[in-house]
Amino acid sequence: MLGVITTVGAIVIGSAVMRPIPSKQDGWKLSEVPTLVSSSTKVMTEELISSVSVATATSAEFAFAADMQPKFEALRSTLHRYKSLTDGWDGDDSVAAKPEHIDALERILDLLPAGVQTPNPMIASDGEVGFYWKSPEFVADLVIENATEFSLFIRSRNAGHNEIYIPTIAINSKAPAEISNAFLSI
Amino acid sequence: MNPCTGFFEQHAGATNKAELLQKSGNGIEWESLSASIHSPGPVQDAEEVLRVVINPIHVDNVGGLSPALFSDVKGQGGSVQRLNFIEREVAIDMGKAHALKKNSERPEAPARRVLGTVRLPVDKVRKVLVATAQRAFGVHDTAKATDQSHADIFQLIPEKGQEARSARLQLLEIAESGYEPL
Repeated sequence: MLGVITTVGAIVIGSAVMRPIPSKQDGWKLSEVPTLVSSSTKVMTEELISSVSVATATSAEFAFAADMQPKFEALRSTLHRYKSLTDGWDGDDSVAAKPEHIDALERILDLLPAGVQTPNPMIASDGEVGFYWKSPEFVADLVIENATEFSLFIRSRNAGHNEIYIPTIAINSKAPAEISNAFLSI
Repeated sequence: MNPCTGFFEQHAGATNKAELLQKSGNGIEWESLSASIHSPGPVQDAEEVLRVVINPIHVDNVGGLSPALFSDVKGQGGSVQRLNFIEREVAIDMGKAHALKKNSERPEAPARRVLGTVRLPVDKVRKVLVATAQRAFGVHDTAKATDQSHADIFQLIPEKGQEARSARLQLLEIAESGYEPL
């Protein structure tokens, strides 16, 4: 059983690395009620984490990781531009993001585990900031809750549309493991 | 005047209409009533509505849409136009005029232009369900004197939490299926 889970998890993270971001997906079933998998991070065994590391530690990935630097710099530039937005930036009732929330989002960039696809930044008209991911297997978003915490939501594109929601993750050295575990649990 | 029209007239200037509608408990029931005296009739499931995308911040570097595109559905309502009552090209022209006006009013903000349109089948929006089996969105006919085709999408579930996040990404999925860049 563990072997199956390990394989699926490795495929999810591996494909997040290798595949381009899609703009449109097939097979999305809107009328189904999503299945709640977990409201907190699932505990992973050392064996599972170890096998994921092996699965993602390829020469291709190292090359990809090197290529990430310009993308991360572009991301940082976008986040800095968010700071220049003032109230009313997206309609009369829109509000600017809090600078400390943008700083928190930038800190998360350094905590993203290896193998996780480069995120896209987002800012909402109510000032909420975060990242989002789209892959053939899932869609996900990460939202800054306050200057020291964020939340993470992942929704599978597969039948059943399993969901993972972690309402609070501290922005510290434990965050990469929590993010990894969440993506592997979907 | 029906109670739905009364509600929207009473809260015409409110920026938290979605929350008020949710608290009223009538969000779904009132979809079958006109919300405006200018209404051509309630929005039907078989209709399609259009959102004109004019803020580049909601389009990513590969042309995909941001989940934040429809963040106004949690507040004053996500403005759309009913394609039974307006041509896409006319809606685009209105979007261009709106972008010009906003650029003039707020030259320091990111320059707006019409980037594309999102075509949303109303029945798909109304069929978005969350883990609690609740419907996530209502589509209400909020016609304006100057735009008979105007409608709004309102989030009918709490603003935060797993259900809200699920609803947002499901709406994004529908939007991407109907996105036509210019």
